[in-house]
Amino acid sequence: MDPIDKVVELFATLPTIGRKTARRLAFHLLRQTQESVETFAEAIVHMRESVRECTVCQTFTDRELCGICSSERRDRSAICVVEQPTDVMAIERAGDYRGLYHVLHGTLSPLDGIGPDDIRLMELMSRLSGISEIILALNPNVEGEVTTQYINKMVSTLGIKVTRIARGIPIGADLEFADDATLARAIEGRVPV
Amino acid sequence: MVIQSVSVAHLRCHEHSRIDCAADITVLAGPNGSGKTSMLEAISICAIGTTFVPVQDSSLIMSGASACTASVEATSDVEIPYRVGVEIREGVRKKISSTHGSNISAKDLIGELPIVALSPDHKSITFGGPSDRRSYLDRVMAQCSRRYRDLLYEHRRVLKHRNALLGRHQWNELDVWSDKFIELGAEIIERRNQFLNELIPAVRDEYSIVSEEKELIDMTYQPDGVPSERIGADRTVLMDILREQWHRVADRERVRETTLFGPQKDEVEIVINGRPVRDTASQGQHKSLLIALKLAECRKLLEQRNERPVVLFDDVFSELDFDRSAQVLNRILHLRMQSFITTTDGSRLLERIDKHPNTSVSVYAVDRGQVELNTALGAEARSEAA
Ligand SMILES: [Zn+2]
Repeated sequence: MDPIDKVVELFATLPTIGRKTARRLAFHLLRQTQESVETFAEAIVHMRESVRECTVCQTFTDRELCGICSSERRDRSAICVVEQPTDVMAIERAGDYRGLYHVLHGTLSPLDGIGPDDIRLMELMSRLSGISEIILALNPNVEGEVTTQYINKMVSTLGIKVTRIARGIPIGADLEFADDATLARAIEGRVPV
Repeated sequence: MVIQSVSVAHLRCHEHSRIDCAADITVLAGPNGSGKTSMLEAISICAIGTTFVPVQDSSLIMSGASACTASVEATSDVEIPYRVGVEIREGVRKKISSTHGSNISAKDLIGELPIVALSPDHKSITFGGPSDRRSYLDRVMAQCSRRYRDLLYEHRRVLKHRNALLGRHQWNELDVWSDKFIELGAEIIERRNQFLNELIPAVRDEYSIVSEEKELIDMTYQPDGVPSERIGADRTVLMDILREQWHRVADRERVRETTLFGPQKDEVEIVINGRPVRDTASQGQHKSLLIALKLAECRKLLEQRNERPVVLFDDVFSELDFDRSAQVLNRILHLRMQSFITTTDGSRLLERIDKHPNTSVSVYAVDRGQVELNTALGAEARSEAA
C-alpha cells in the first residue's frame, strides 16, 4: 500500500476525522521536518505506554493514583460518577466540585452488548466505605438515565445518599430559544426560590 | 410557512431543477414518470427528512450521480426567512443544514417547516391495518410536538435495548430497562389519547364540509392492554397498568425472546356510523374521510405550531369528483395555506381552480426531468384577468 494512503486511512479511523481532513493532516506532516514528525510519533507511543487507568477512580493517569485521588485537599466522602475521563476534565474546569470521581468508561447499552460487567461498576461498589454521597452525572439520554437508575438500585440499600445532576436551561441561553424537552425538564425540576 | 422556491440536483430524473412558487397554488403538470412528484418529494425531504411515502434513499439519487440535493427557501408566518438544504448520499447520514445551523439531525428538522401530504398511497390510513393509523397519528404528533418526537425516538431505542436483552437471556438487567420502557410508554399513551381527543372534533367538522353526508365519524384509541375505561387515567395509573401487563407476559417474553407489550402495539380505529370504516365504508366515504383527516391535520398543525403548514397533493385530484376536489381547494384556500399539486391533466385542474378568483397560481409543465413555467396559464395571465 502507498505510504501516504496508509497514513490517510489511519487518520480517517479517528473520531470526527473524515477522509478529506485525513488527507490534509497527512500532507501537513509531509511538509514537517523528519525530527518534528519523530517527536510527534514518539509522543503518541509514549502516551499509550505510560497512561493507564487510575486504580481507584479509573480515569486516565500516568501514575498508580491520579492527581485527584492522591490529593489531600479533596472531600473523600463524595464520589461523582461520570461516563468518560473527558467528563472529569469538564467538571474540574467548572471548578466548584471538591469531591472524588469515578469513571465508568461507558453506560449500559444492550444493543451494543454492553452490560454491567463491561463498565467499571464493580470497581465503584468496592470503594463505597466511608462515602456519604454519590452524585450521578451521566449524559441525559436513555442509556445514561437507565444506568443512573441501575446504580441507584445497587447503592440504595447501603444507606448512601444518591443524587443526580439537574437538567435545565444553559446559563447565558435565552429561555425562548430552549427546546421543548429541555424546558419541560427544567420546569419539572423547579426549585423553591 | 410559505415556500418561495424549491431547488433540486440529481434527484431522480432531475439533473437541476428549480421552481419559484406561487403564494397560493403551484401546479406541476406532466405525464407519469415526468418527475413532477419529485418536486413534492424535495419539499418533504426538506421538511421531515424523508419522502412522504417512504422509499430507499438510493432510489432518490439519479443513476450515475453520487448524491442528490434538495433545498427550499421559505418565509415563516411572522416573516422570518427560513432556508433548508438536504444532501443524500448512499450509505451515509443525510447532511442537513438550515437557517438554524449546519449538521442538523433529521429528528431536529421535523416541525420547522410543517407539511401535510396527501398521495394515493395514503389510502392505507383508512383501508389499512392498525399500524397504518398509528403511524399516521405519530407523524402528525411528531410535527406538532418536539417532546413527542423525542419520546418516540427514546421509546424505540429502549425497545431495541430490551429486545437485545431478551434475545441474549440477560434477565438481571431487564428490570431497569423495563422501568424506563414503562415510563416512556405511559407518556406516549397519555399524549396520544389527549391528541386524538382534540383531533376528532376537527375531523368531524371537515368531514361534514367535504361530504355533505350526515354520517357520524368517530376515532377510538385502543392502547394495547389498557381497558377502555382507563385510557384517560393519569400517567402513574397507566404505568401501573403497563407494569401489570408486563408481569402477565413476562414468561412468554422469555420464550419468544422479544417484547410483547407496549404502545408500539396500540391501535387506532376509525368508526363511521358505529362500524369500523375498514369493513363497511363506501369508496366515496373512504375518500371523504381521508381528506377530512388531512384537513384536520392542517388545522392541528396550524393551531399547535402557530405556523401554516404547506400542503402537498400528489396526483389526488384525478381520483376525486368535481365537487369534492372543489371543496378541498376551497378549504385549503379558506385556511390560507400554500399548496403544491401534481396532476397529469393540468387544464382540468385549472377549471376547478378558476372557481376561486384572486388566487395566485403558478403552473409548471414537467417533462423528463425538465421543469418549465407555463406563463399562459400561470400567475401573470391570471393577474391581468383580475
Ligand atoms: Zn483516581
